[in-house]
Amino acid sequence: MSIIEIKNLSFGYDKTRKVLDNLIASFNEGRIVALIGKNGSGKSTLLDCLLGINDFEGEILIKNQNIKELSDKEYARLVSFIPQSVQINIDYSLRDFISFGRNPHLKFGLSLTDDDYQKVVENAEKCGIAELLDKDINKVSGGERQLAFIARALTQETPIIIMDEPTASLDFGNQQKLFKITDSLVKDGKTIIFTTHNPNHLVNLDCDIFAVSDGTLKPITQLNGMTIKKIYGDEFEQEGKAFLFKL
Amino acid sequence: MQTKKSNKRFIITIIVLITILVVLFFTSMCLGRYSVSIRDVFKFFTFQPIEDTPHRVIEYLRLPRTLIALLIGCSLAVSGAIYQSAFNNKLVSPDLLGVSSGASVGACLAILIGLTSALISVFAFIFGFAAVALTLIISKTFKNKSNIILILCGLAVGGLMSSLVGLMKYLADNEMKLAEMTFWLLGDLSKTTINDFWVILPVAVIGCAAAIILSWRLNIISLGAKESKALGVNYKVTMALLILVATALTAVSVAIAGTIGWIGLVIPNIVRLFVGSNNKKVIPISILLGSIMMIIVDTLARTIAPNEIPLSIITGILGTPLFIYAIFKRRREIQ
Repeated sequence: MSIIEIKNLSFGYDKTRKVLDNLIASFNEGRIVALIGKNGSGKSTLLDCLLGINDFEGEILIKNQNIKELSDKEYARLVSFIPQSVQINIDYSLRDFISFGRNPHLKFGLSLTDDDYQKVVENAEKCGIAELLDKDINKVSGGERQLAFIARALTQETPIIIMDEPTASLDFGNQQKLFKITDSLVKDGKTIIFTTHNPNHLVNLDCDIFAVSDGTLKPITQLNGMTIKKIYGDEFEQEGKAFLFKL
Repeated sequence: MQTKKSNKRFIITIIVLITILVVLFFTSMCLGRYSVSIRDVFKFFTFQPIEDTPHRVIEYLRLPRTLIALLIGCSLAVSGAIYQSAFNNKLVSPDLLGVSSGASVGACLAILIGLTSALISVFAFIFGFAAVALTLIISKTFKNKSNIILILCGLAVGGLMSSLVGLMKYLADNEMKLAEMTFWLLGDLSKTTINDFWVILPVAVIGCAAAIILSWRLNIISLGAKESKALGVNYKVTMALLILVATALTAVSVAIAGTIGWIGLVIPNIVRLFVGSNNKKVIPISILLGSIMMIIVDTLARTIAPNEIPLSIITGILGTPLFIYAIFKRRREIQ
């Protein structure tokens, strides 16, 4: 069953060139959806449209609700977001940072309850960072920080989690940890949408792959040298084959 | 649980700071060129009869002045805390978007054309807001949503306003107006009256209350537009509200007392050292610590020398070591 439907989505930063042109796609519930494409292909622009940041033409329906008609809190109860990297100069403790995920469930003017903080602890435990809860977000490693973002998304309790290049700042060990967590999230019924520069990550992952290329979004049924060539250009066919073969 | 422990520490900090504030408030009533005994102060506040002179000193000089100092201290500290979090930069001061420098232009213009002190405050307030509006309008023309653009436009407008202040100082006569401008630009509470208190009171109370109400959203806004949206906060509306609150708090303070540096920069940074960065705690503690700091500054301004010392001189002398202390404590994080 589809959880997100994209209908005739077009967007350009200026009037002369459309980055995304009449996109039509649907993403299934309880799946990992990987968006691949070269730099500048529009992956992040598409994410910004999904997040409702970009003022796009067309429609995006989440659980049959047009995101343009949802309030900010209603939207945030459906979708959580894990950015590629964010410079946070204000040093919140990990506990505070993860607790921000409760905001969509909070009524105006009310404070977090003990139950909310219990959820923070539980999700930090799930991500293996419970012992770091009272550390400042700027004093933990890049990997631990990324896990804090995931814990925050879990605390937000949304059916969809969007991740922008989640593996970009992670070492191999943390990448594996991340995929393990995403796998368990999907088993819990969540839908994960993420962008990646590295098709390598997708070979062993049970996921639906979409390629963003020339302003369009196309489903990729099989990841092989041919598709790599289509997405990244002729010169990558051989490298692509070899690269994927290594796995 | 850790949260309960930290909440307990927060409540204890609040109680300790309120106690210090009350003690300093009454101490401030006693100190000045004319000393008033603590007994007279006690009698005054319990509506018992006291001699005419101490009664007048408290009623017309010390009380309004100390109350104004308290409100200015909390307004500037809260304004600084808002700007620092909203712009994700602990080193910005309430003048980030040009409010103080704009207010200075208004005040100097009013002094130059010979207006009364009440109109000087009105001019300062209007020009303070006008400078921020100019910053926002210019940044809008760039069609770039980055906060950096806004900060750079604030710098540009601030620079322009400083030049205009320089021009007005150049045009002012040496005898009276230049001295008045200089004193005003360094911060001064010596001419304040109870009427000023009634002007600043609603702005400070509403502004600080709004800051407390918005403090949780301020946390989220500090993460940027994209994350705010994903966490269910309307970035544009909340940011506009926060800028409005911070600008009103600074503009009214500068309008009443002239430009007072350091409070807005230093107090939130000191507060974060003790209670962490969650604005649910930073804002209330900044209100109390800003008030305490400003009462100390004002008391020193009128007691340590035969003549009144401008406030910014004292805030600079006290603020510099405090700021260096804050940097020292965070030295490992600075890269």
